[in-house]
Amino acid sequence: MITRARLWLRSAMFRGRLEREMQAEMTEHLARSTERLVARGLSPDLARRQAMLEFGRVTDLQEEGRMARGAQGLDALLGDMRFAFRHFLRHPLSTLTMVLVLSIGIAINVVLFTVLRSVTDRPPSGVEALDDMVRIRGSELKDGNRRERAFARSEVEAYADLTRHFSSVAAWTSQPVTAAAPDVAAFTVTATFVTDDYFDVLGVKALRGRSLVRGDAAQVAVLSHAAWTRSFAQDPGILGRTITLADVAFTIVGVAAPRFRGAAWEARDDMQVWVPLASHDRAFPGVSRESALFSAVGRLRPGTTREDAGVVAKAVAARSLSVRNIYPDSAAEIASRDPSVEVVRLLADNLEPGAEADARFATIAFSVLGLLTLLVTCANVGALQTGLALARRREVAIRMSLGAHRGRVIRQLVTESVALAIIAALGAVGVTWGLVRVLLHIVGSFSFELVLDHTAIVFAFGIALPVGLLFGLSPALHATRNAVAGALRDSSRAIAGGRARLQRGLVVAQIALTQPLAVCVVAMVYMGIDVYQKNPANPNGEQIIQLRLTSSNARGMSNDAAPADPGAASRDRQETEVLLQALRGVPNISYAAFIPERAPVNLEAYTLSDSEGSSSWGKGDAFYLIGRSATPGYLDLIGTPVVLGRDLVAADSVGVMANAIPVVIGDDMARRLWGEASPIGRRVERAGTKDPLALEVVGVYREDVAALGHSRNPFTVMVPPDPRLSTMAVSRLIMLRVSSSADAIVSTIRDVVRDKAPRAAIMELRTLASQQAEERAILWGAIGLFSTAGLVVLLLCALGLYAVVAFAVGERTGEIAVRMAVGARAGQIVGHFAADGLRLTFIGVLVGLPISLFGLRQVVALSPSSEVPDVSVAVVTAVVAIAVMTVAALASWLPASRAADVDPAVILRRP
Amino acid sequence: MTSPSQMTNPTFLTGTLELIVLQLLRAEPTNGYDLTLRIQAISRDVLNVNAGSLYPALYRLEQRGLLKAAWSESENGRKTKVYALTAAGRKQLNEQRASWARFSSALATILADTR
Repeated sequence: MITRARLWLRSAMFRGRLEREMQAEMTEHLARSTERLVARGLSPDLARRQAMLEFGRVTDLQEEGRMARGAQGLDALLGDMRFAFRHFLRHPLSTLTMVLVLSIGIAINVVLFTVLRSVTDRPPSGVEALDDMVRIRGSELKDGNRRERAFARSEVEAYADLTRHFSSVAAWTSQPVTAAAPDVAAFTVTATFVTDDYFDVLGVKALRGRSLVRGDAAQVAVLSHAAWTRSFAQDPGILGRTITLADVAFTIVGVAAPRFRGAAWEARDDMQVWVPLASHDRAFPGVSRESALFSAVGRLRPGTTREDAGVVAKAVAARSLSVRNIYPDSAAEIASRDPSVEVVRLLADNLEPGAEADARFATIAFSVLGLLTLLVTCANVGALQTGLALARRREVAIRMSLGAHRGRVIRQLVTESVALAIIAALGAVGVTWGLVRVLLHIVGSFSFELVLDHTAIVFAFGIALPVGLLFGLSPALHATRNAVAGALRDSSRAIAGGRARLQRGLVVAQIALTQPLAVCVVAMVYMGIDVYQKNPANPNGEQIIQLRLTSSNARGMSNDAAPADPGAASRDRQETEVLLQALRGVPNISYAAFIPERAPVNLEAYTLSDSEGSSSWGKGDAFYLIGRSATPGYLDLIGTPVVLGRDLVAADSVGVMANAIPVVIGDDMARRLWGEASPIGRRVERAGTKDPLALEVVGVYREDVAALGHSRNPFTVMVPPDPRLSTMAVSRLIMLRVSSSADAIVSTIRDVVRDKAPRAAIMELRTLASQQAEERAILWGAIGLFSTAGLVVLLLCALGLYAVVAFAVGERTGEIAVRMAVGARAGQIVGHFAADGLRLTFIGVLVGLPISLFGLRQVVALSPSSEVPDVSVAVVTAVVAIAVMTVAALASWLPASRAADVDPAVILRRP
Repeated sequence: MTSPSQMTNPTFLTGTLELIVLQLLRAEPTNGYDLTLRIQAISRDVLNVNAGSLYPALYRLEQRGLLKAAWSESENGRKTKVYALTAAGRKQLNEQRASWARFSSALATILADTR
């Protein structure tokens, strides 16, 4: 079998040499035959003629020789390819259009495939893919769902002790801190405290210097490439320099490989510093050993499966959790949270227990999107190809009349379409490659490894082949299904009609499929604009400063996994109070307040209280409330002043503890619930729960100038902060109002923080205006992206239609000439063809409508339930229908207008 | 009685030509031209295989890995392509010979019984 394959490959690859050898062998045979006959007494001429007679026809023999070698299939294929390329050169415009359309379709699929594979099937950025590398993933039940659970140090150590299953286990905990270095502006960085084996387990090498190793001194650090680039301007003398993190000095010993940025949540930030875990207690003396939150990875011993290791780890987890008393209390809490652990492949995005299900869902969603795009592309190119095949029916008929059988001609046409698809696949791979390069150039790196590897290339060609067959076969079958004589006479209208029907059917299918894509894209744009409009820039944004500090109680990047450290919480409160006092004393700062980011009331259903008599709102109708924590004066600060009743006061927090919470509501909500009646003193109650919680309206803020830094929602209520919740946060948000330029005062604020809260890191210090500008820029980026996608979809739609109408005009020039000769006006002719195109569009739009509506519902469902924008199905569908019809009118009118250029005198004189 | 001209009919030779070629090449490697002469001589002019049948058969056998070919210089200084049996060809020859022996004895029996 192998020998035969080798021989076939040889005959395919060395065709030229084998041909020459065959020629030489036969020449030699003829020469010896001639010599033999001369020896028998024949004259040389006669002998040669006789020898050739005995030998037979050399060309036939060579053909048989080729057949014997099995190389004739390859010859035919190469012949077909040559023919195809000659055809492409004769029709450069149609070829370019088809390649372009196919490239777009295939490129969209390759991009989707590349991103999907990078996120769901690859290790984190900069980490090598190794079979034995695993993530040890903790989970627990929270609100009925299984969520990620970080480990305590003792639990990770218990896993590291499983030496029969793991050859090594590495763990780390991350913390955002302010970093300082001589001659470098202070910057925020994620400090990751790692165990000895961290770099070794992940297989990450240093670009400069070295990584961290066992036995390292506590005060050494490795910088991420981004931190080295952005904060140290790629200083070549970086090794040996000092960096201060949370007031502890570290010596820089290395810069990590460019794309590496961690293996869990911390990888979201590319500004990283890795330091030995031994330094953690010095940097954060307030954080107890057990309350830091760890993530873990490991390497399996040879022969150990992930399942085996998972079973053992689970047993260890159960023991460790109950012994160490990780949960504040009782077996009951452990039972209700059901903490568990599993050992899974280390992937970029599988930290959450539901990651596998999410990946499956994403795969299905991406596949559907990709398939839909491919179908549109195929329908489009199919329509163009059918038009070309129709135009070529004379050529096909001549070939068939000369003896080419139907299969041969079909093979020729399909070879052309497959060749087109392969060229398009090459283009698509090139486009994706360029896109990846540009993205990486702009962004530097992602938390996942974005690469275009051989699987994406195989994928591109894997879809190009069926796509080539799909859009090539049907036109080829149609082009060859005719009577030769009829085609040559050009009188076989019925056959041409059949093919035209196929082309028109394909255009209808394409518009029907394009529409849902366009509707989804328009809905996304619509939602983006909606969000944009509902978030006007705060007019006082330049005077409002957001100062976000780390909390000393922060443990890793998660809010909920372990109980608060009460000591740390009270220290934080005191520190914040001292800091606020100091800030209020700074000239030009007119307001400073701590705003807890978690409100005691949020995303819950409420109804009107039973005692409510006169209301315009239905008695049992529930509404979802969005709660925002607000301290006294906050509403004034952000420019949404209280217009009725009173603002919140410090004493209102008592109400939070008593489950009867005083709130300030927006004027829109007041109108919706109570009409023109005064809402002050009214109550709403939490719906569907036995645990009573009432909100009492004490004030109304004017909402129409709201610039709250989040989507406006009529049911947004201002709630006094819950002192219990505020201690849980990772960070502390302080809002300041300044009367001078914000830029001038920033360094003063920094100094005050360093003085009054030395252990806190500044995570954010900027004006509300700059934050809002950034959010709006991101939003505009998204709107721009979706708008471009929408334009591409419309372009695809226009191309197919243009081809159909142009083809119809080209086919019927004779008929047009006759009509014009008997008095039809140019406008009537143009109108006829344009109307034909529009009719097809209308049918396509009608057919696609149900799919569009279904798609639209899915898109709307994607938006967060709390802030569903008012996406009107009717408006979006109408916008898309009008856009498609307008583009269709243009795409039909352009070629149709050419019909008017027909000169009856010239056309009718043709033979 | 079958005439020699009928014996050159490729249809008649199909199946047996490959056996003949393999058998003759077992004795010694040779080129296409000499092979035609040897077939003719050994069969005492009964089998006259023309080039149109022989070369495709040689290429087929070579393509199947039963023969290998190499260029060498003949006695009169001409370059000539010499075919030789491979191990797979030897095995194939043995199988075909056994099969042919069974076939010819069956045919002989039929012809003898129905005389």
